[in-house]
Amino acid sequence: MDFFQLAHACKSVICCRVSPSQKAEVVELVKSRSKAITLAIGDGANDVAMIQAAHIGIGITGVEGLQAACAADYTIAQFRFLVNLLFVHGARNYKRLVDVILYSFYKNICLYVIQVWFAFQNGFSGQILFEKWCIGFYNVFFTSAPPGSLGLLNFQCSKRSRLNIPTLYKDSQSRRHFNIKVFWQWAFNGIYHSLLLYWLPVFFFKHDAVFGTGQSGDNFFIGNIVYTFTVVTVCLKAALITTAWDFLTHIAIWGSILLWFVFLAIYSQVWKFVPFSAEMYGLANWIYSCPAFWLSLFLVPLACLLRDFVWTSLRRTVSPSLVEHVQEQELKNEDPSLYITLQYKRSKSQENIERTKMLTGMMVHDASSMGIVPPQQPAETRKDWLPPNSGFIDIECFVIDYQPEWVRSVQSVV
Amino acid sequence: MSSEGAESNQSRRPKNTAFRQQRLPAWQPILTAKSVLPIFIVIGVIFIPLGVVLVITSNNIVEVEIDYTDCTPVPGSSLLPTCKDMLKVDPKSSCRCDLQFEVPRDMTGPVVIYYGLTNFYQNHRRYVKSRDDDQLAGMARSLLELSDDCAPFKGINGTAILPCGAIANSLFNDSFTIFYSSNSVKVNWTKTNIAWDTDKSVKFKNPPDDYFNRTVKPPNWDVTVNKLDPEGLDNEDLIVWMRTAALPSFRKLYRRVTHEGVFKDNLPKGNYTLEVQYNYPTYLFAGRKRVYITNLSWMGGKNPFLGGAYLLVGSVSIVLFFVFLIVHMKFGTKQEALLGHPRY
Repeated sequence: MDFFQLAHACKSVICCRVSPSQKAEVVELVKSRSKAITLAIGDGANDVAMIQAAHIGIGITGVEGLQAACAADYTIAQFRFLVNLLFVHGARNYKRLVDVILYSFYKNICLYVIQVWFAFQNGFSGQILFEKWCIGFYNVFFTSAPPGSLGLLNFQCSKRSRLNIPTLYKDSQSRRHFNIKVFWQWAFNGIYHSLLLYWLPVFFFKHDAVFGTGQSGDNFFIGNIVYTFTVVTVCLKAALITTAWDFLTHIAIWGSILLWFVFLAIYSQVWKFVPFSAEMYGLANWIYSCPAFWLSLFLVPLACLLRDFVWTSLRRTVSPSLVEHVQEQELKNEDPSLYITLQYKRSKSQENIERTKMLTGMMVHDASSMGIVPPQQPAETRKDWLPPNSGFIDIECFVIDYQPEWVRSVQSVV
Repeated sequence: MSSEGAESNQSRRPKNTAFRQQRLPAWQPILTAKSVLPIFIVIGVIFIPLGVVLVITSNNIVEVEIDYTDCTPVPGSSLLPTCKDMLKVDPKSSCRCDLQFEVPRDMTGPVVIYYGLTNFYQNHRRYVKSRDDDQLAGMARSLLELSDDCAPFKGINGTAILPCGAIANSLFNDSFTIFYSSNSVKVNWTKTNIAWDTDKSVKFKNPPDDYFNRTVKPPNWDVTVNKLDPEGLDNEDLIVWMRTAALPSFRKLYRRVTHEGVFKDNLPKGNYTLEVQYNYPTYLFAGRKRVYITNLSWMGGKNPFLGGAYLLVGSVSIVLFFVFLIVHMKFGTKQEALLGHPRY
């Protein structure tokens, strides 16, 4: 067994009396030999090498100066803030980032794939269904606030729960919400929505006689109607993803939808004053006075999002994740760890058994070679110096140092 | 970051506002089977009656569709068996044909006439941009000033075309007359208010009179724009045609029936004759030509899809209500037993 395998088998490893370059070497060893993401935290100049070698370097400002803080990716004021940094801000911001990325792909797939469906009906000539500035402003004005609120303000459960239940951190570690499969699920969802968003209005408006006064529509009439439905659907999808609604979230989502309606009304008048976008002139008057438009406005986004809504609710009822359980407990003002103790009892897994065995053997060997445990003692009594509940509490610890006095003092603690 | 660090410098502390410290009060909705049950019932209760109303409204509309592409010409007006063949030989010729049709029920007013084309891609990119909106709005644009998008219908022999572009050039020029067969009464109609009023008042205006002399008509037209009926760029048929349709099969509003005399309240049930002045060649794009005679409701013409979609979504919602009820019984209550308290 080599050094890395042994170290990797331990829950924690103490390396003492190491030089700064050796600190960096330990980090690089782990980085090169395993797929783990490494985090290094330190407060002194001697930690700079280690901080920069790790994937995430954290510097603590304070007693030993600012060198570590300057070299770090994140800086905190006290060591104990590390828990908050990881479990609260780290976990929350990871989920927020994931939501923003997946949502951004989804909303753009939704809009642009509609043009693909239209291409089948315009002889693949490249005619756009929506007006060019409406397309341009889609990501700038009408659908930029929802991912903003998802990325800045959204959260699943309270800070207290995240600190008290470290198991919640596993969600981000295991990439449960952000992997290739999830990405394609979002992409296909976007394509499915784009299908409904194009074909439903086409069926409702294709006979052209949609006004009580008999006039017929045109390309940009249907185009802006489809665009309206798209903006509404995409913003409501963000609303479905949002798990925490504060007033800014409300403004972001409803405000975006309102902004489009106002923009359409204003943009439809522009050509009278400025020689620009003649094709838009008068559209708002006709769209807003069309009963079929208002009727399908209540139908089309709902039809699109019905599947999302049903799936989310059913999945949550049938097999809720830990986060969802914690959410529910919190909202009932109950202690969320109630669920943990029922479901997540620490059990002595096979892995732990193997590790304990291997470690016991190693440590006895080393200890005996150092003259701590007499080698002639029988095997069973050699385990006396392990603490009584070691299987449950896991205090496997490998000491890399050859100062006999230091080893003895550590042993007494262990 | 917690603001509890007692040793940290007071001025370097982050601001302790609800927004900065992420303490904004938030509503956290829980979407489980039980909590969303009311939503499905509400949707079902609203959508199904609405769908029924829409379907009934649509069914009450009487619509007559007449495909006259292959109509036989009246004796003497053509040498070939159909008007279509005649136009194939000589696209500039005119052919007349008569068709009989029946209105199955009394068509209560207001009654309107549409013409429809199939396989005509008014939504083709090159076609849609082939116009000059400034010229149409009344600016006297010379050949050089005209938009290049109008090409190849920009000018002939150095003279600008009015109105330029492929859209104007392909103006639909079939005309119709309808007679009520029982006493050969002609159905009168108007062509006011068939175009969008926003188009007519702003986008289409006549240029100064002398501009008409400096321009020529588009190649496919029989007369110049100031000889149209009514004359000028604000001819509503032209305006309606220039509103390019979104799909290859489309309808455009042709006329509004004037409700007077026999047709005061409705177009009575019975036999009618449609006289077509067949000018528009469709063999080039293998399209069909149709006339639609329909009455209008508050929703417009016949639209079974909207009502049907409402009924469908409403029924799906009711079905989902029961599905969710069963799911809640089966899974929600199981977890209640485990946790010792009700699920959300």
